[in-house]
Amino acid sequence: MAAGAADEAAPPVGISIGKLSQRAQRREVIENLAPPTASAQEAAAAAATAALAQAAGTADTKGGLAGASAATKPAELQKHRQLSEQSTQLRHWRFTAEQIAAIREQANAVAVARIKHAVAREQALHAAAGTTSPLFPAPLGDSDYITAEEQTVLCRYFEIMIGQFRHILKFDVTLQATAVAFFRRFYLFHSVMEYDPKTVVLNCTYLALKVEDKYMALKDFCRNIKNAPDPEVLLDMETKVIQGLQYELAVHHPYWPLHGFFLDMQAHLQTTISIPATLHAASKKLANLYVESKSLLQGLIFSDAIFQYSPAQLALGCFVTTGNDHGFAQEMARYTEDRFLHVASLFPHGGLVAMVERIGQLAKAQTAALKEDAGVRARAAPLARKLAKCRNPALLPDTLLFKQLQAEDAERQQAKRSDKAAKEQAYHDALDDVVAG
Amino acid sequence: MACASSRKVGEGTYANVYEARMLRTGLKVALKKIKVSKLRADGLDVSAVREVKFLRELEHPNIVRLHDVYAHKGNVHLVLEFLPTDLEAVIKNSALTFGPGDVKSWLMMALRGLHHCHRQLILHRDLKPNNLLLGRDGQLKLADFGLARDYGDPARALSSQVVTRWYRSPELLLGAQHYGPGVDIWAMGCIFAELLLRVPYLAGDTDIGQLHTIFRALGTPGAADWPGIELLPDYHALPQYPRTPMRTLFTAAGSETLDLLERMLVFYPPARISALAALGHRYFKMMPPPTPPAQLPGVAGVGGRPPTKQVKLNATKANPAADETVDAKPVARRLSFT
Repeated sequence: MAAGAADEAAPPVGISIGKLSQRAQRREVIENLAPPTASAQEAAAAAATAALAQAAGTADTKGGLAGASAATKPAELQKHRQLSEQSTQLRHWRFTAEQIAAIREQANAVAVARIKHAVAREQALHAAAGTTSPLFPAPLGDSDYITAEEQTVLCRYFEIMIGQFRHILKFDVTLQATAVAFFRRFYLFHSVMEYDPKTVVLNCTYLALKVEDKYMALKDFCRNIKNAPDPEVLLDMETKVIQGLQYELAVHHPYWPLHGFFLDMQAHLQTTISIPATLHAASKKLANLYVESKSLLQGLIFSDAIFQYSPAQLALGCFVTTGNDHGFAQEMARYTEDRFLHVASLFPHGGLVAMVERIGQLAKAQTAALKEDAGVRARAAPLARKLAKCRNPALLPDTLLFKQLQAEDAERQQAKRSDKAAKEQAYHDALDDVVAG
Repeated sequence: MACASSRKVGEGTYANVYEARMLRTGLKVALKKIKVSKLRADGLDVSAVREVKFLRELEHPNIVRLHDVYAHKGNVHLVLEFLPTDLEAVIKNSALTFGPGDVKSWLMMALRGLHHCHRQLILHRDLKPNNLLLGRDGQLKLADFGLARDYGDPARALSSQVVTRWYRSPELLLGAQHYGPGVDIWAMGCIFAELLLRVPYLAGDTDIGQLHTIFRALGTPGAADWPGIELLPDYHALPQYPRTPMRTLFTAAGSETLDLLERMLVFYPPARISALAALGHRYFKMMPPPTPPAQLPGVAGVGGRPPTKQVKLNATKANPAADETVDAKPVARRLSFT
């Protein structure tokens, strides 16, 4: 993989503390985790579903369902699996629930260690100057830091905010899902104590606008957002955010596979129901279920499910759950059996039915949680106040440490430049000697 | 730092390209330094964002490889596979002679790369000889994904202001906002014709003139050729031209060659051949076989056949299927285009 090279890239000021660049940190976090056996199996299952969803999703352009029948052939399945396994989302952004928790803890611990060190330096600098640090009058206690769990609560508030941006800037749910995915991916490996979520949430939204071809000028973007920071602030942060996303900007969402399943289920109904009137009624019902399941999906977009399951799995889970709840269970069961029985071995942990159930329960819980906006705000407010007191001083422009680090950096650059000049001079001197001699 | 750059090899609208070496491996690479957009008003250029987005996902022998991306001093750098030349340079090099197997080989590699994009639901939207790069080993690779985007979602409108003019398909010229892989196939058809003619096939001098140029060469499509054409946003009364048989221009091409070319340049977008179907076309199964990449004309450095009579060799080896005998003669010749 193309890791490594960026490690040597000049780290942003402050990151050098603790000696961990973003990528190295990510690698360390992942390598310390248990081997992802369950995830590998689920990934295979995901690929199988994705293959079908992909084939079905393009059926309207191909004018038939050639893709779905092709997916029943093992060789074809193999090919599709390899294809979907190429996506960076599946290769680098799929984790089990345990892994997610461990990554968050680890990322938090790394940040806390770095901040402890930085705060000590800041206080030492102030002591040397005979002043006290206005931000850090006393050393921080262990409970003064934002914990990994508190971070998820705080982030939730900003994720919901992206939904408000959607109404202001009039973008679609896919773009919203991309922005949320960027934000969640970024804070999986980074701490709010080092990267201000108020800025990062705007960066993620603006980046999603670029990625999903709904580009607008940054000043127009900032003008539309209440209390937006200066565009300069966003520009400074943009590179760091993209770097934190590993430069992997293609995100896949369940909306499209859901449409694919909808089309494929219609085709499947036609093969199972021969009475025209019954077929008509069933198709109509299916269309309603499609709309219904789309809103059920909405909660999942804002949850860890996006790391745990493939978009196609989430789509199928929501669709089948909606069907089961609205008297369409028999048809749904027949559909999944016809389409997936031959790849049953690919669904671990109790098979497809169990997976659908897990996703369905998660979706219902998440969609219900999404409805109580006020609670999110009330929970986030005290954490925001807490956050203001434990941010990494190495990254705050007003601190002595920040100035010190910048001076050190400038010095290093200067040393490098004079070193280069000296080398060149030596070369020319040597050349002169040769010419003179 | 990941790369040491040595010399500038190109300048694009949003990036400078340098020849460089990866410090860790010593591998020769093309380093694309993304220019900070005008006064950094909008941050990272949107073309760069697209290029990174898609190249990160695409891995194929006929698509340029993105080794790495990194930031240095606030600038984003793309570390790309180093490819010394491109198809445009080879077409323009009059010292080189193309045999029919050579054209077949280039087209096949280009279509393979394109099929890989299309099956991942990605449109390239800027295919032209200049963006088909050639490696030292003769492999052809699709490059420059600065205009690429995903397709297939009918709810999303796409811009019709894409693809370099000479390779722009008629539906784009008529302002279509919902289109698909057909736009890339049309461009590929134009490139195929250019390989046969050694000059751009449909070289219009203005955007409006482009449509005239197309109709002059291929005839104005009737209602039967293109159902629903009048519904396109920029539809207007079209100038009427009769269709000139392809045979009159492509005198040296075999009938299989022309059949595939015609299928790629079908007016009605849904009826245009797909990349996969094109790869399965009889043209690729007839003699002569596609030239092995390392033996293609213009391959730099090692191998690379001198501009001689390989074509004759092909002719003697070829099973002279009545169909393709014409193809066995050298196709390459410059034609004045009127």
